[in-house]
Amino acid sequence: MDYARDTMRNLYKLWTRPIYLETVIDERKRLIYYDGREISERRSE
Amino acid sequence: MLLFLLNYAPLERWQHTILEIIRNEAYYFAPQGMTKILNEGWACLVAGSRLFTDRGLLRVDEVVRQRLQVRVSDGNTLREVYDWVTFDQRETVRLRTRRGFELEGSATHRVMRPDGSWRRLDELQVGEQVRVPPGPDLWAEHAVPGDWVDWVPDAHTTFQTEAEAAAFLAHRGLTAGGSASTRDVPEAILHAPKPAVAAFLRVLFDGAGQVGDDGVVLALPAAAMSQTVQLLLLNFGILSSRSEQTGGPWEVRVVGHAARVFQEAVGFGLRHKREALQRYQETCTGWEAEAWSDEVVTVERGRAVVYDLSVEETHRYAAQGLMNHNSYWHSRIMTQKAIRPSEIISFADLHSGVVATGRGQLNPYKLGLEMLRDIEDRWDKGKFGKEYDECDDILEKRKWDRQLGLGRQKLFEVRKLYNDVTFIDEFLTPEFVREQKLFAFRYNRDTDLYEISSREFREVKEKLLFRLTNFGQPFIYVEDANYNNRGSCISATATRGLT
Repeated sequence: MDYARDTMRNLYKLWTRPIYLETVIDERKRLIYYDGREISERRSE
Repeated sequence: MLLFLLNYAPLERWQHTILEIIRNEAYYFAPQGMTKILNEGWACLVAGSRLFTDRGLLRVDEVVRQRLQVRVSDGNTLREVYDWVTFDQRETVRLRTRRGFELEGSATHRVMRPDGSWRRLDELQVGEQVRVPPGPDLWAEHAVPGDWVDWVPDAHTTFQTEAEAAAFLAHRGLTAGGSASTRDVPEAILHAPKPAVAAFLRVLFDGAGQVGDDGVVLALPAAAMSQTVQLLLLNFGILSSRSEQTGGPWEVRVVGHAARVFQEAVGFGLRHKREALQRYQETCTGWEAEAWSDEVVTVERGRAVVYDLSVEETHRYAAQGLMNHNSYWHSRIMTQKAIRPSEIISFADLHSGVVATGRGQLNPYKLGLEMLRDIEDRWDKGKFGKEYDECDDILEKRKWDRQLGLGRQKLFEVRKLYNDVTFIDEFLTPEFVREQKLFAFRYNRDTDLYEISSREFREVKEKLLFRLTNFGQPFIYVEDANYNNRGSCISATATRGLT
């Protein structure tokens, strides 16, 4: 999750807008959201 | 040192990444010069060693110094020499065979055994058999009369008696009783075409040779000369043996089947010797031709400057009456393009370091090298194509050998057409994975250990390919630049591996 947080920050820096990232963590699909202030994560199926 | 920093220094994540990149790159570039070195060892002969070439019986040092593009005999056919190297002060081994062939080369130089396998000089034992190339029959091709005309009686001269022939030789210092100013066969003769050499040998045997119950015997003033005569005879396909006689002269002896070959290829000029040889022939009917091999009788160590050449395709050449293996790749790449001889040791050290397999780690250089070796082996033996793929018998597959010898050609093709990913995709075979004991692993949260998760070929290959794609990082693609209709949002998908 630490790694995901860093990745989100980098992506945000590049894209300059809020980010939704769909990925797989521990074999479960996740949707991670980051808007420059805080990070949130939920299951996405 | 970089590894130490990576492991223990309080680094920021990005610093860590950079150090890791530097370390990986350093390891990557070091082996660039030798990815295909298939470890043959240095293969060289000392100055004065005679090679059978299409320009005559030349000295190896002469060929190397002048970078002569000669063709040499590989035991079956003519091969082009394409590379020349000299090494100062190498450890050498000098061996002598029962027949009197002598050869001195670097300790790692290899000679052929009768069964076709190779043996390093420093591993050769007294009593072992080595291959003698059966009559290379390789001569200088240019028929322009050269210096050699002085040493050969012209077409109008026929000797009637042994004394006349002996006088001809003595005048040129070539007989045992002569002034012995000439210690070797004149260089001009060694560059002469076949008929001239035959004429020279004929007058030599006329003047200094005898036929008795024990074959044809030639007495010569010096060891070097007897050795060269033996090599010239060998070039005609005549096996002889050479020994020192008490009191000085050296004898070259031709017996049995070889005497018949001698009669046909060289023969005597003098009638009474011709007849004597004929009589000798009749006494030895039923003699089998001798085997083209010889026994090592002495092995000595020394140091000397050595000369190496590279021979196309088969990488071997006939010299000093034995079959020799050349060195390639490394001699070419490492000595001419990359390093000096003084750096060889550190190169070898580095090389073994680079391809060493660490504990629990996959070494990509080792993997690459092993795969290239595997490819060379498979294409040499014809282990590819429909027929091989469809063969179900594991034993038969393992012993598969069509003797195609396409290995090296395939290596060049692979290097040209493939990158890391396509290379592994194409050439990583189930057999290779099994042999190299490759496996995939994963972290088990319950036991807090890394465990082998699979030895399945498919999974191993998948993991390997993921590692090599995008440096093992997942790809992130923009899927929808306006996700949830919130203006400029991004929805991205991270997928691992190939697309």
